[in-house]
Amino acid sequence: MSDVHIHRAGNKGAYKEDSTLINRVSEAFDRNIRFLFPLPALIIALALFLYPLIELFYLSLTRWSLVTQEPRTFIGLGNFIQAFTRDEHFWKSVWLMLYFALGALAGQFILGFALALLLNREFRGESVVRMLMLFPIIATPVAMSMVWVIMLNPMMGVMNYLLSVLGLPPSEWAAGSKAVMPTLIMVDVWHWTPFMMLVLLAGLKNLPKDPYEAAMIDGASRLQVFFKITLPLMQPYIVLVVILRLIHNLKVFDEIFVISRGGPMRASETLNLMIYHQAFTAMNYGYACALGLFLLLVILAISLAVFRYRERSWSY
Amino acid sequence: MRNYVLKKITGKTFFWLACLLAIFFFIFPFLWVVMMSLKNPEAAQAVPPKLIFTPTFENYKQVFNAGDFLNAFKNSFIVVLLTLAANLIVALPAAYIIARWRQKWLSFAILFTQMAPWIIFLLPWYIIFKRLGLYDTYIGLVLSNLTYLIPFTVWLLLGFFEDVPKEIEEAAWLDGCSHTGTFIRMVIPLVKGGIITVCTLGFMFAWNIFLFPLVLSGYRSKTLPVIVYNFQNDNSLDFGPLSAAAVLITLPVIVFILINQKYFSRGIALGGRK
Amino acid sequence: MKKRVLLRVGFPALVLVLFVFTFFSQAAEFNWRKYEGTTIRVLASKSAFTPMSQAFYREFEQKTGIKVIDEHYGSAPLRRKITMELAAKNKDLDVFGGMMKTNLEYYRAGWLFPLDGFLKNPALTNPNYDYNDIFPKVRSIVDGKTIGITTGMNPQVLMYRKDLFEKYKVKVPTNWKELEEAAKKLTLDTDGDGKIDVYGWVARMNEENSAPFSNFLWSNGAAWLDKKNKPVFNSPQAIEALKFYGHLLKAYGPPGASTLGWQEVASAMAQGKAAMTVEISIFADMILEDPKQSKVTGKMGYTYFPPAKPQFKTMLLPTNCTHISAFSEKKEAAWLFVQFMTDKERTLAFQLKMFPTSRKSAWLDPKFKEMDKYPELSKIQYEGVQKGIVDFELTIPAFDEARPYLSRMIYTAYEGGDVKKAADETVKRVEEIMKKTP
Repeated sequence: MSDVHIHRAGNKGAYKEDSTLINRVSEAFDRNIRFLFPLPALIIALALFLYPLIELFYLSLTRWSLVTQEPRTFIGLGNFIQAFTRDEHFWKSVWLMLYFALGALAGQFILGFALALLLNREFRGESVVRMLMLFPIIATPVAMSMVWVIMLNPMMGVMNYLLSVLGLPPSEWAAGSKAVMPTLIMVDVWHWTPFMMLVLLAGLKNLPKDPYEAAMIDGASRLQVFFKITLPLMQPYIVLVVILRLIHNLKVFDEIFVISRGGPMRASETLNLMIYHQAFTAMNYGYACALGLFLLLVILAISLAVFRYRERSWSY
Repeated sequence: MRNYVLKKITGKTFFWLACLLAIFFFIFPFLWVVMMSLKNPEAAQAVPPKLIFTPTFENYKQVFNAGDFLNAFKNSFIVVLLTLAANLIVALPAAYIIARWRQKWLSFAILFTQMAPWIIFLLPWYIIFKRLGLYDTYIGLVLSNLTYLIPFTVWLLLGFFEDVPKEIEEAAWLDGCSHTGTFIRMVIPLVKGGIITVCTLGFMFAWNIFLFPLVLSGYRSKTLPVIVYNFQNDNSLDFGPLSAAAVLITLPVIVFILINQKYFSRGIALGGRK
Repeated sequence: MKKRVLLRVGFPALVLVLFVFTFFSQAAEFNWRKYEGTTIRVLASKSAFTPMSQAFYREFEQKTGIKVIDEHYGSAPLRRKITMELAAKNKDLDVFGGMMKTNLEYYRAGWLFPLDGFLKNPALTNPNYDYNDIFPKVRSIVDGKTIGITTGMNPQVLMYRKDLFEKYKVKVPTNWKELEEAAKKLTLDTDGDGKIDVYGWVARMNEENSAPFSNFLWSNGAAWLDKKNKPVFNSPQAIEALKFYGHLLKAYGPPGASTLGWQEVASAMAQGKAAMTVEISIFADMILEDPKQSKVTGKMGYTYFPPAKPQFKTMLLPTNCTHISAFSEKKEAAWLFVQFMTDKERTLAFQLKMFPTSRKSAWLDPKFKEMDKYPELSKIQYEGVQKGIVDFELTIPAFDEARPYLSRMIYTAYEGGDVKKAADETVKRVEEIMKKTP
């Protein structure tokens, strides 16, 4: 009996001591959560992001071909000079990247905004309609890209059949060097318009009602209401979603890779694809790193703009 | 009066016509792939396409008989669940701190990682993972998923944390609650909606990711997108099994999102808020 | 006395003979279980033959106690994965499959382990293996080193619609002139609605067009490179070949030619929409003679691609190989695996599934002769393998980088542009690429 008692007492003492230690540690932890809470996220970012980034930076200054056995050599800005002045595809790839990003953005925005305006009302089956429109964003991109490959096949695919039903001449789609970019843009518009629609719809639903009532009293036409009230009120939503989509469009890789692989004859080899091909097809790894760094800087500049914009809106 | 009714009716028809057209545009590839997956090779190749045909489940049988499909299914589920759990543990506190103390540089860093082009990191990652023994492991795949999911989560949760009134926390601190305790017991329940939203979208991202597992997984942890990509055949014109595989990989994520539709739509809308 | 001598000399002699015999027969008993307990990793391309290979892997595991981890991918992701792992000097990759085209690049990078030492070592190579059974032409040898074992090939042959040739009384072409005549006569409007229903000729014109074009190049006595490895595909014969390749498709082929890849070509043939093409022979069994995919089963004929002049008659032979990585730490176990998968027994099994293998014994095996579904095709393939051309493409390490330029040059011929100028420019471009990667 007493044995148990002592044991218990001892236990209690130990617990007490422990608890103060724990207390002290947890207090210290508590005082510093500012630094400790983001720590795991930071470590992951450093290990998987900063380290490769440093390596990327270094490698971009070297000539390092994986195919030849010659060791990598430091060549300073040689890779960049090569890209900017000698590689004729470099500027073309930059242009293709912008063409794709802006073309897809325009399509997504116009269609997405139109749909958002269309759906900005209450009606029966609202949620079903919206759900069906979301399918493209949800579905696995690789799988859907492969489905597009089948559908776009100029001889066997269903897309040319649809054109013939509409009485239109067949297209070469992704296989034609002229048709490939519009085709890729179409697939991207298909994929991401619902995203645009949802964001803008949420914005529309959040708009204050008063200006509209005032406009109705004034007898303003629909177009006037749209341009004078809706557009200005929606501006912050539009700017942000447009920038987000733009950055995303600049980075698109999977779809292009599966559907056209940058071809035919490099006609859809955007900077992203060029980096990939230089690294893993031509195996000029150092050169690929230099191109990668360039792309990174472009996107960094755009991110900075987003950040500034968001920072400003934070203070509201 | 009659004119008004007529106008209303034509307005309604126009509305539904536009809706149906849009739905057709977005849904068509799905209808098509489901049809393809049920056709035998002969019917699948027919031009013009056959709309009426006897469905066959032969393609699905072939997919399951391909052996590694079910295993990849399991791998995908494990990786996704682990990713979601790890993501919350790491990203929730970080988002909270950034929202409360407005660590600008940190939020910029996180935003930037969300926007970086990933392809260029593939080879360094492969080498690092190999060195650390993380290649072809669940942990490795989870880590690679975290690189895009953490920034996204932080970005999305910032708004939720900002919406939590500071007074609640201050009251708790006055009562002698620790910061950590307050965070776990008071703040987290208040951002439950945000957490579900993050998990819904996270499920979709992690389920669909292709490039990372293609490079970082081997025979042990191969996930579904890699397996499905493999159905592209080098010397056959038979698209049936590929279609069936595409349907099978898309089905779970669509069902999951359907169940959480509310959170999904909100998550997307929040992704571009303010 | 005589008897005794016989005993004295004969008995030891007999013992000696017996001893020698048992010694050698023991040596002949090849030890497969030397590397029991090891695990090797294999990356291979995914094809219709994958399930069969996998069954053999399990058999190999039983026989040797070596565990095989195998991964199969389509050709594009496979190549990316292998390249990445080799570039990272991955020690866990032991064996991988590839095509002759990619060998060179990997070999120059020092990523392929030469197998000559193993082949000569009786402790590692089963005496029954008989490497010499593999057709000398298709062996994977670069700079005198065996860098892999060739498992099979995909000869390019002329595929034509026998029934149409008979119906319209057209001669199966044996030279370019007859080829064009046949294409002309077999561009048909069968139902008289003014639209063409059968095209006389179809061939790839997309990014992959350099492979079928090579038939035209070689069969006109031209080449991609000369003896000193200098690009010479702007020679007059090469220009002529380019022009003919473009003209044939333009005049007698379906519209929208830049979209024609192997799928479209195979499909056009299978759907009965084209009368002739030059393609890899595996399409015969995989597609054209498969009633589930094809409307022309039993109607196809196969023969050599017709040369411009008889002396240039040849057959182009894309080959598939198996390699051992230079970074593998289990090269011996890997070699046992490669050896097992490419020995006579396994090779015959693949041959019996109509895969054109690299072993003479498999082609001559009575079992194969008996079940051979396409004896006509087999006959020319068997001949072609012995005198065909393996390095028929532009054989440079950076082939993948040069390919889009070649493709565009060939397309110029189709469009009717200035072929000579395009060829000159492309030669210059290829020279630049070659300078970068010696």
